Amino acid sequence: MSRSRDDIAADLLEALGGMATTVASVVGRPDAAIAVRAVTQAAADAIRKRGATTSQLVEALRHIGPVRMPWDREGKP
Amino acid sequence: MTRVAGIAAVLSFVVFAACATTRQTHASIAGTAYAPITSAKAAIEASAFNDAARLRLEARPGDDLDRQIALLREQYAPLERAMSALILAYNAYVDAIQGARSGGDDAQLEAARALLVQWRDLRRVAGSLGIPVEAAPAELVEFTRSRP
Repeated sequence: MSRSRDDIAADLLEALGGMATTVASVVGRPDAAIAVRAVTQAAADAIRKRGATTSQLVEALRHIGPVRMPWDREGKP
Repeated sequence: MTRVAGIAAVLSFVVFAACATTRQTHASIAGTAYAPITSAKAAIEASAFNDAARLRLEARPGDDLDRQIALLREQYAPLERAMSALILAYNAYVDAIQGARSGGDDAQLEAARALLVQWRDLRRVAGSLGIPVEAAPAELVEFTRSRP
């Protein structure tokens, strides 16, 4: 599950979209902010073919259980 | 004043985006590490079970099976400790990733480094017993090496 160029491109697009959104909001154009955000997010989602967000990746992580050796069961194999 | 606030907001977002990307990287690394760690665990458990079963099958009347099992247990003790330490390090890494809201937490990087240390230790110990353990994922090695 190494990060591909697509993943990086999607992350950059999201970041750029977020920056543009912030700038548009600050200069008093919330409508433009919403439009820019929608376009960049859609593009990022399209690029990120897996469709897995950071939250989904993090939630998918699981703990690994303890080692079970034969002598752990009543001391006999 | 508005310009300053705007620049501050943009910078904040850049930091946030970078942190989120870092968190995703950690999540990807942990996801990649999961399979080889569980494989190593299964290989070690299977090896121990096979050795113990062989002892039972080949035991002759009068053999002290309990003592033989105890010796086998001693033989596997370093490997069991190293494997348990690796599992603990992995679980701690997962906790650090899941606990970091923005992803910028240094705990993630520290946990990644601890995971790499335990992974190398397990490989060393397992290698001495003839049990192959896959090398740590390249992403984990590269990421920990690239950060100060």
